[in-house]
Amino acid sequence: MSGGERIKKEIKRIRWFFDHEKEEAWLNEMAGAGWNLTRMYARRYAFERGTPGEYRYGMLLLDAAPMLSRGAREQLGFVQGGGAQYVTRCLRWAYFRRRADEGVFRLYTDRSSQAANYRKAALTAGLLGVGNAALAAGSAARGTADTLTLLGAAVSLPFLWMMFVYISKIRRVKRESGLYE
Amino acid sequence: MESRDAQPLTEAAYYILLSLHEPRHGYGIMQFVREMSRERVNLGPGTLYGALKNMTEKGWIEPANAETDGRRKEYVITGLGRETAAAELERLRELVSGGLEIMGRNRDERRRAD
Repeated sequence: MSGGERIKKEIKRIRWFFDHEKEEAWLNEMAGAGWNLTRMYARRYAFERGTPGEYRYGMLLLDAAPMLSRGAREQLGFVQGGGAQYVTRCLRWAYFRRRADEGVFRLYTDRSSQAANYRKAALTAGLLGVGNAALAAGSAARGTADTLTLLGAAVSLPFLWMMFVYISKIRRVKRESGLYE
Repeated sequence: MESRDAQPLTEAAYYILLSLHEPRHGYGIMQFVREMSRERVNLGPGTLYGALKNMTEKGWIEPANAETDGRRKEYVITGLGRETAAAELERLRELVSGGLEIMGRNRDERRRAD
């Protein structure tokens, strides 16, 4: 086989998502095309070639970072015990997958737990967004606005937008939960 | 201590309490609920983990072993949990009996009219 005909076994992609459900949809699109996520680091995703449609992927925001919390390690183990295969982790976001032939794969199956996950995501993004914005505002108020101040302000914006995205999701779930469980 | 929350239980919470009348770990609970609901209710592991944590905090269930590995940790219902499940059963009975009274009567009237 010549070099030009060699089939790639691994690809890498860089992406940023404001909404983990869109990220999940993209990961499942990739898996549907035969590219299975294996690692994720600083928004760089590594995929390996597999059978198209073999896995379904799902994401879960852990209660804390596993290296700092026994509870979060227990949570990781619990989800694996529930039939999901742990793939990788980026800060508190854990990525799982399950074989598609084992049925529908959903980590959250009711509105209240889904809303709790959105609340955690909104709070995390909000803390980072508001924290960076406050630092930038603080140094600007002291008249020491420099590159670091501008950087803080710039970093806060995507996190504030993420917070807004998740607050909208919480509102949508609340509207839907008026009649249904 | 209040014996139960005034609010109705979710379907998932009710089934989880039923499943823990004997000690079970997470996967065992998921299987029990699936079987008991004739495969209609499938609990996701993220949902179940949060529910077990909340129920433990409320004192409805408690760990049944000293296991710290989330895969093998077992839970069992407490006295307060049994009261909560029994009160929910009573509420469901009331819903069913109200439904039968109205809809059952309408059905009988329709039959007579035919």
